[in-house]
Amino acid sequence: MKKELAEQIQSDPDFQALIHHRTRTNWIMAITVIVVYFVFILMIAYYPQLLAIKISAGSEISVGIVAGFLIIVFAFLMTGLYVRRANATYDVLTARIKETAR
Amino acid sequence: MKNPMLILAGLAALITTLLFSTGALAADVVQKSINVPAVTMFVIFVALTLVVTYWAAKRTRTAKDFYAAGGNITGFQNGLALAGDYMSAASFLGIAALVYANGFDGLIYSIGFLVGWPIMLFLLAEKLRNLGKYTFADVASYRLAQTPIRTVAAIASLIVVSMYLIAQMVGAGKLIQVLFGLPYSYAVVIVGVLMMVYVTLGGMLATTWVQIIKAVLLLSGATFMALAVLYSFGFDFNAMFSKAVEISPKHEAIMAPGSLIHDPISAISLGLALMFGVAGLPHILMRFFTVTDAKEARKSVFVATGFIGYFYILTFIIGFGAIIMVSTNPTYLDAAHKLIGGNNMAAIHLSHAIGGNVFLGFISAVAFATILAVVSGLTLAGASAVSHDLYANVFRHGRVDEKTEMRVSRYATIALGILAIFLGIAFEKQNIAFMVGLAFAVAASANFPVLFLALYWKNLTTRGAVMGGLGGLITALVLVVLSQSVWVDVLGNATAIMPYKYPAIFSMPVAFILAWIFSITDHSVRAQAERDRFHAQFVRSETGIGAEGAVTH
Repeated sequence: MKKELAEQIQSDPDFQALIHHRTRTNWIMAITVIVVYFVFILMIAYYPQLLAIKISAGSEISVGIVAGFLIIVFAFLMTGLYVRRANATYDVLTARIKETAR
Repeated sequence: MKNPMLILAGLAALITTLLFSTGALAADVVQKSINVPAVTMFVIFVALTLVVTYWAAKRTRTAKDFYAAGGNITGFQNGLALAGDYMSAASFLGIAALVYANGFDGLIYSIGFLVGWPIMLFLLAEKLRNLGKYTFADVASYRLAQTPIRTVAAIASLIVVSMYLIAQMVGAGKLIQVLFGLPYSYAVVIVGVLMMVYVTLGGMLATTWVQIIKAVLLLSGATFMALAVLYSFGFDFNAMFSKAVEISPKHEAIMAPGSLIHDPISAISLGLALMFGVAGLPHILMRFFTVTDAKEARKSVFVATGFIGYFYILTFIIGFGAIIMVSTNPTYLDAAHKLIGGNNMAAIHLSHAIGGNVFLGFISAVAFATILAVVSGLTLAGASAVSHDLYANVFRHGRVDEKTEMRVSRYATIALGILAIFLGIAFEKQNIAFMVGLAFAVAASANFPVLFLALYWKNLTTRGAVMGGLGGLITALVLVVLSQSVWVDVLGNATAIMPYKYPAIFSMPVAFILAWIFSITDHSVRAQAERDRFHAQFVRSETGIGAEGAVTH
């Protein structure tokens, strides 16, 4: 890409809106996943007995197993949320940016 | 490669004869009898994949076809293929075995293997697609000096690929020995030869479809097993877990974190390697260049995450099913009351407990197919590092025609195939449990930091990237050699020098810190030019303007 074109696109308000919005959301989503995962890992390392608690009296299912399943579902839902957002918002902005740059 | 059909037909005949004749022979002498349904289903799978390879070979004309399937794979197909690449026999049999032996602890690995995917989607996938062409080194070296960056990336890629290949090849050999009654070396040779055929003739297109077929088979087989286990408890999870707790010698302990991870440093270190290793695996990163655009790339991660997450939930149920249906059944135990063939056979024995010889045959064939598909993906990634990065860009400085580059990649595939066979045989008696972990550690410590900083940090220079990448690579390798799994278990020393099991908590910061120091102190003219090029790279990575398009046939 030519430097002039890059500079022109960078000054496009659509581009600035895209970057502002997307960079922020992507980092928030990434940090959320990282925090959820490392809280789980640190629980395993420091408080394994908390994960051993049964979810109810008379049940064998432990908090740890429920948490594990929920993290798997959570990871999948986060990717879905991202795809929906990107398809709805980012693609529209990107298309406009490409149009302007032409 | 004038007549792929002839080669394929000859090969299919050869393998069929090999499988049946040696099986029969072995049965006559000492080994256990050959599993006819397993061999039949495996031969059907091989025949099907060879047809796919023939079809793909006719469509593989250009370098773009060979490395990236012409860029024409859809997001959904690529998602399935990514899942196929990732759901190795090691994760199927290995995680089921971990759950079988330790219960909950198996889930720790599953989750770690999965959570890297959303991170890769949020931070890397679309940018990779927008900037790259065939390998992730295209992206890492986009605004940096080609020769040093590609050399480091190719070395790290080849190390990751070799570690992974060893794990898969040894796994294949052992599995086949138990299941098909074939000698170890035969299995390794069959896997090596078939993989060379898929990759040299059909390139990325054949590899992709082999992955898709295998992913569908593996998901179907695992779904059937998990449903059968749940069905026997009327789909009552609590009843299933209660029964497993009652039967397991560890009782209650299988429902909570156990002995797998005891010190926090190892826990965090494993977590880091698993989470960021995915985003540094060359065979996974390479798949993002097979789709048309960033939109399809993001869809493929969504699809892959869904299938992989679903698959890990299935393996968890399968592991518990094995505790209940396999661990008490004398058919599956040896004289010492251990599982015949080791804990890795837990899922395989369960398939027999559920559906007899026919279903055992199906699952065995699927496990073999899984190994075959994964080694194909790995070999293609390794061959691309050799031909596209080392040969075309480092050795020939980009002045090479497509025909020559493709020829080199085919030679590289054959060389890697032979190397894989050799390594598989050499490591037969070795303890290779640490190999996949090491591959992830190197990927997280060498490839990921360089790629991430190249995309996100304007001030990264070639000098910083090289020092960071090499620093992370060497630190990870040295720490693994000094740890329990190599220093004590393989080399036979009394105590480990490195007290923790996993290196990433040290090697990842080393990579980032070295990259930072050697970049900010780099005042060369080249470094300034590299920083100046960041803006244009940034605009392309965000918008896809100027990105590689798909080719139409």
